[in-house]
This record gives sequence, C-alpha cells and structure tokens, in this order.
Amino acid sequence: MKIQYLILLLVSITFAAQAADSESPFTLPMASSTEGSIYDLASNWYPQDGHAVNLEALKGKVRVVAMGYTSCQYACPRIIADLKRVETALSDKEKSSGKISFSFISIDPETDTPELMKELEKNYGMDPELWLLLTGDEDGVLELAVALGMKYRKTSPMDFAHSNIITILAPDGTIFYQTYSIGEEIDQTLKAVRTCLSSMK
Amino acid sequence: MVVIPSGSYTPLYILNSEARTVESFLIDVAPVTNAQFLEFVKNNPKWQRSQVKKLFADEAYLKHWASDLDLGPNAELLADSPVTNVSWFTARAYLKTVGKRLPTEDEWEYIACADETRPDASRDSTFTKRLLEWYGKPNSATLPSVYVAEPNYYDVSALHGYTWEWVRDFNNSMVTGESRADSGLDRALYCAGGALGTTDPHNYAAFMRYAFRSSLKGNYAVSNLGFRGAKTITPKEQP
Repeated sequence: MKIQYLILLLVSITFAAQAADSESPFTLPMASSTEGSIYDLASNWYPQDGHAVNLEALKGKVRVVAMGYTSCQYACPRIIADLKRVETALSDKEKSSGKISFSFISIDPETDTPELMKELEKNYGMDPELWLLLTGDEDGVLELAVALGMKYRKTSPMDFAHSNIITILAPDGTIFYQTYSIGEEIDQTLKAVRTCLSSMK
Repeated sequence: MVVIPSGSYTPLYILNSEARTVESFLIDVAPVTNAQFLEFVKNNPKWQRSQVKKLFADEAYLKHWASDLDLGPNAELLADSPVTNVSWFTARAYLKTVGKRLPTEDEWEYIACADETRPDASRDSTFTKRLLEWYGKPNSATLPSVYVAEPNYYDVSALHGYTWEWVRDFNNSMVTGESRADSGLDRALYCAGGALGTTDPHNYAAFMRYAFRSSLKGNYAVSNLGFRGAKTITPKEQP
C-alpha cells in the first residue's frame, strides 16, 4: 500500500513538472560555459552617445537586440516598432531596474555614424537610458551578424537585403531567445524577456 | 601564396546582375591541411575540440580526428589533406594567426572560373560537367594530399574536386526572413524555377555553391567544407 502510494506520488510529481515545463518554454541555457558568449567576440563599437566600447563591456544586462540600418525604409522601422512595443509593455519598475537594454545595431557602418544613430534615437523617441544604438567597423559587424545568424547583402549603394531577427541576450551574452517574426504579436518575446530578467538576482 | 590579377566576373545570383570587379589579391595555392590546423590548435587551446564554445563551432568540429590533438590511425594520410569539419569562426581564428583572412565570395568565385589553361572556363560545358560530376560523387574517406592537385590557370590548386571552401561573406544569401520578399535573392537560389532567374543557368555547379553557402551558419562544421587563406594587397606607399 505504501509503495503504491509512493509510485502514485512520483507519477504526479512527474506530470506536474512536465506541465510546468510546457508553460515556460524558455529555459536558461544550462551549460552556458560551453555555449559561448556573444561578448567573446571582443569587437569595438560606437554608441550614439559617448566613447567607443568593447563588446565585452555590454555584459550584465538582458539585451533585446536587432540589426538593420538607418536608411532602411521597410523592414527596420517595423523591427524597431516591435522592440518599442516590448519596451512599452514592460512596467516602469522593470524599465528602471537597470537590468534591461534595447539595442539597434547597424549593418551599414559606412553610412551609419554615431550622429545618424543619435538622430534615429530622437526620431523614434527612444530613451537614451534604455536604448543603446551601435555602429561598428565592417569586420566586427560581419562577425556579430554571423554569430546572431543574420544574413545581409548590399543590394544598391543605399540598400541592403537582410534577415529580420530579434535576439534576446542573457546577461552573460549567451543567446537566450530569437524570433524571425516581425510585426506580429510580441507576447513570446515579452515572455522571454521576463523569463530572462527573472533569472537575474 | 600567389598574386591574382584584378579582373571581373559575372556572379549568377541576382537577376540582371552586372559584372563585378575584383581587385588584385593574394591567395593560398592550397587549402589549409589537417597538419597545419593541428599545429594551430596545439598553440591555441581554446580552439581545441573539447574547449571550443558551441556558438563558434558545433558538435561536428574536427570530428574526424581521434581527439583534441590526435589525427587518429590515418594520421599520415590525413596530414596533408585539406582540413574539414571546421567552422567559419575557427577558420578565421586560424587565419588570423598567420596574418591572413578568408577570401570573399567574389574573390573565390572569380578564381574558381578558371580551368587548367584558361582564366574563365565557366561557359565551357565540359568544365562545368566535370564539376557537377564531382559534386555528385560521395566524398572518399580520406581526401588526397593537397600537394598533388593540379594547379589551375592562376597556379591555385584544389579549388574544385577536394572540398568546398568557406568564404568571408558566406552569409550574404538569404534563406529566411529577408527584409523584402521580392528581393529576388531567395528565389534566384532556391526554387527549382529559380535557375531561370540566375544570370548563367548553364553554370549549375556555381549555383550549387551559392545554395550550399546560404544553408550554412558560422558555427557549422561540415565534412566536405574546408578553407584557404587570402590577403589584401596593400598599395605600396608613395615615395
């Protein structure tokens, strides 16, 4: 009798664990030491304000990241709009926690100077405390883009064809979540941001 | 390395694409070998099979070796054959240590148009047929030594018939989520009817290379994919 009860208990615990799993599809990469960090790339970047930073300096925050270029007419405004919707959905407490940042990173470093990125910030009414807009050098851009699984090609002097990816980087620089769906519901992305935030102390 | 003279070639990937100019550059005459790569990982432990991070090389990285620093029972045969199962990141890391870089797609395709006697054999069906026959053949267990390959017009060996090779900008062809559905990039490469959109439907071999590249990610290690070094020729300083 006792053994049967124990088995029943074990079975129900297993089921409960599975149910919990299916409710939170996002799990932190367990062995992040073998996964590798975006910040290992150690390239130099230029923010819209202030001095050049090494990629490594961006450690320690949850970062919601997308790559594109400022003169992009079609896809990038939609990606930025998605990022802004995630931002808007966060509570003031979450936004002021200092644990989260949004980034738009240029794939067109030849054109996109920090000054142009600053203009982008103003045009979109981005809070400079929350938004880090980066431009880099050609090789650093290529390396970061490849690490994020981003494809791009210059199609004319002013235009690029590129993939649309929103990436959530965990504080240690591992890729926590990625989505290719742009201009749709942001629920999954928001959920991933919150899961990632709650894993921080 | 050999100097490749500047010139132009017409890539096949975009509708109505125009000839592209390729500046003069330096290229390795042969792909990087297993022996050379072994030396590199000996000196750079973080790129050894057991140490490398997944973001930079996946599980297949150097899987044909017996262990981190052991080529295995076929070591002698393997030593001078092109190293494969290496990712884009690891290839770059290797080349950095020898002061080189990966060739660009344009550079690679430009010299790959050559056969043994002509700089551009890409319109010759016997040449492209030869390539296709190779693409259709399964890989032999161990690739032959790079030092016995017959050089092409530019004195560059083993561009065809050994392995496929990483290029610096392999990520310039779209697979998913491109910014504009009508950009034509994908269609030109993927749909069966897409070959109509390419500039040179006869050169199906080159078409296959573009399609293959666009399926890669930077951390993929693949058993028929190796690399070689290139270098930019810096203009001589004016007196």
